[in-house]
Amino acid sequence: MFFKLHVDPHLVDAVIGLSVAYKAFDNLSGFKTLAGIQPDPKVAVFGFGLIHGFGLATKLQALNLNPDGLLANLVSFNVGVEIGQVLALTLILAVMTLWRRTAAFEPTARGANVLLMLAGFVLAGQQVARYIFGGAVS
Amino acid sequence: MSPNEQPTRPMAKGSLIAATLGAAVVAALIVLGAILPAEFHKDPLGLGKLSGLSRLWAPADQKVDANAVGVARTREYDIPFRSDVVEIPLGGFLDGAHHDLGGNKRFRDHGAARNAACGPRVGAVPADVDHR
Repeated sequence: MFFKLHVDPHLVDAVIGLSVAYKAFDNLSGFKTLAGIQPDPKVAVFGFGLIHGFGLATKLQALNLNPDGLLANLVSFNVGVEIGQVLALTLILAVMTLWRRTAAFEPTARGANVLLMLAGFVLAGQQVARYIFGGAVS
Repeated sequence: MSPNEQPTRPMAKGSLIAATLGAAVVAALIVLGAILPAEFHKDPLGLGKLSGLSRLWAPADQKVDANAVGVARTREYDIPFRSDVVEIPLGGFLDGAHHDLGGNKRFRDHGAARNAACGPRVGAVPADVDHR
């Protein structure tokens, strides 16, 4: 693209998987319970946001985009991503608020976070395997 | 309460550790037992063969020129071609050779029939000739 910056997308995806597991662990107050510290969520969001964006960028690099009008396309692509996120999060926040009001929220939220941590570890393991053994870029 | 703080009571230390380690162990099992056999043709635990997930794996597609001659396979499996050994019993020497003579001629003498079949037709001994 505009910079000659490239990292293996599988390694980026592995870190994204670990960030999912990190957030699930943080949701369970893991850092407060085990280490007695609470990482600043703003710093974590910023750092992981950079990595997630980097993952998206490596996927885009694999697409062989037409250089004609690339900057305008990239900007519109990002605006589209943001609009999609706002729409999705609006729905998710509404459902979460309803979920939070139910009596079953506490146990189900714990279970959901443990499953989320599991999914994050699986994603990280899968991407590390793909980095080691190769295979099609997904 | 800040928006990011959890309204729920934190998990007990023991169950938190158990949940985290459990998630890591189950994740390792899923990766080693299901993802490696299905996606990468590796089966370190033998679970892929046991569950049949190994069959999900397929070798990478090979692009073949459509105009190429004599190239039929687009995937290369490491399974050898099947080879069979077929036995065809031939029976006795020249069994059924008297069909060559056709007609309703019958030979009383097997030796004559064999001679007739082997030799030229003109040399055939007619059935009504008596051997003295």
